[in-house]
Amino acid sequence: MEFTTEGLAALSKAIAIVGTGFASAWAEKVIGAAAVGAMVENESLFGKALVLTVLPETIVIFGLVVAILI
Amino acid sequence: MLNTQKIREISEYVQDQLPDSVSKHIPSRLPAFGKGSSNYPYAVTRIRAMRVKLFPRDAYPRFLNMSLDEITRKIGESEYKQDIDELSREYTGVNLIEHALNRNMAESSQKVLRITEGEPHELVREYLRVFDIDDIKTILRGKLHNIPEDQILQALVTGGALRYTFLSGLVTKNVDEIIASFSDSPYGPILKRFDGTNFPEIENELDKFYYENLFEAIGLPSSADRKQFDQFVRREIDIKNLSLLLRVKKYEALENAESEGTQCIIEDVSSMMIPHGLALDTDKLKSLCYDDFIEALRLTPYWDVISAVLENADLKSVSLTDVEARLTRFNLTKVTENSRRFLISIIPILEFIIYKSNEVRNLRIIIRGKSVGMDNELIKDRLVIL
Repeated sequence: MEFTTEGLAALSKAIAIVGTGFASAWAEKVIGAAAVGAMVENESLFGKALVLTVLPETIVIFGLVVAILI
Repeated sequence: MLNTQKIREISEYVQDQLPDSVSKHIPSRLPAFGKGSSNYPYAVTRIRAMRVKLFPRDAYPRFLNMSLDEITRKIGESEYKQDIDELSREYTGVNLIEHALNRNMAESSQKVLRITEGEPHELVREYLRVFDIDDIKTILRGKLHNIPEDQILQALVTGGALRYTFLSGLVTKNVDEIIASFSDSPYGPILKRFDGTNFPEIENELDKFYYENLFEAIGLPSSADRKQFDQFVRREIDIKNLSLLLRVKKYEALENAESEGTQCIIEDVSSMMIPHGLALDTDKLKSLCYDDFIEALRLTPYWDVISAVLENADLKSVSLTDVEARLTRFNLTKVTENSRRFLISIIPILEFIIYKSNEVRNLRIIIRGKSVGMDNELIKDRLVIL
């Protein structure tokens, strides 16, 4: 089996996207569950909770940027 | 795949291999797994939001300066509103507040149980059994001393597994019928040993049974938060043992002083000591006279907390209630410190339960104290304000 430069670059892009995708998903799961817990007791926290829940989305954006730069 | 039996066998094998100096401090425990998926992020955040709704520490001095009616109104405007509204048809005055506080505590405990899943649920359920034990003791003690039924009912807090309907049914029965009602429960074998004269022994047995079960639920504490939970429970045992020892030693010293004897007479309290405490060597402490006992206490981590009350104090004026309040405050402070360190763990959940029960306890003391015309300073000494 031969490793070409293009092939390794494509693999690196995939790792960057997959890794950050999983990291975002895990973080959003934890923050989302916590946000719902807080909102059940205090509905006025909806705005803050929403912002905090989508914040980990930036991780996958970083992954995307890295993938584009490779 | 390991099954529970296999895990128990491994656990027992490991226990056997431990040197005596280690294993005697560790009750038979299973590693803590196989309890289903837990929902710590959801449960902890929700419970933290509930914790914010508790009365702040500066509310208590304000309560002390209010009249009973003002306190009732203030409590009625808070988280206890629904309980007070619903119970106001049946009760009035101090009784109304007392029932509302107890009901609210029970509902909060049940809510924590509903919110949690898996591991935290198991731990909380075992921890809350303390309410069951207290209720059983309250009912039996009340019956033995012919306390009126409504007063017994007033003292019940149904925060554990036993429901209010079941407990209120027990209050109408006699002692034998009450014991028979528990024949199929885990408390049955202990209660059956009651012969009419050994109630203090039964109370101690129930306490020991509670802690053994709790340790089994905690398991071999591997994670840092589990270790903190384990330490909290063991510190709680130390506080119970220390309070009892202080009471006994004070009594012995007063008795010896009255009889003007030169010899120090020691009572055997071995059966009353709860095993597996954290830092107290109860075997040594129980065999000492009052002065030596106080000297030995200086070497324990609790001395800094209680020295202000015991140091150079006249024996008769030593306030054991003050000592107990200081020790409880110390344990709660430790939990608060740890709840900031272990954000997503069992500790914040435990913190809420003990802060809530402390709030209920404080409010009861204020209400009861005010209703019998106690001095504000005296009431304040009995409060645990954090």
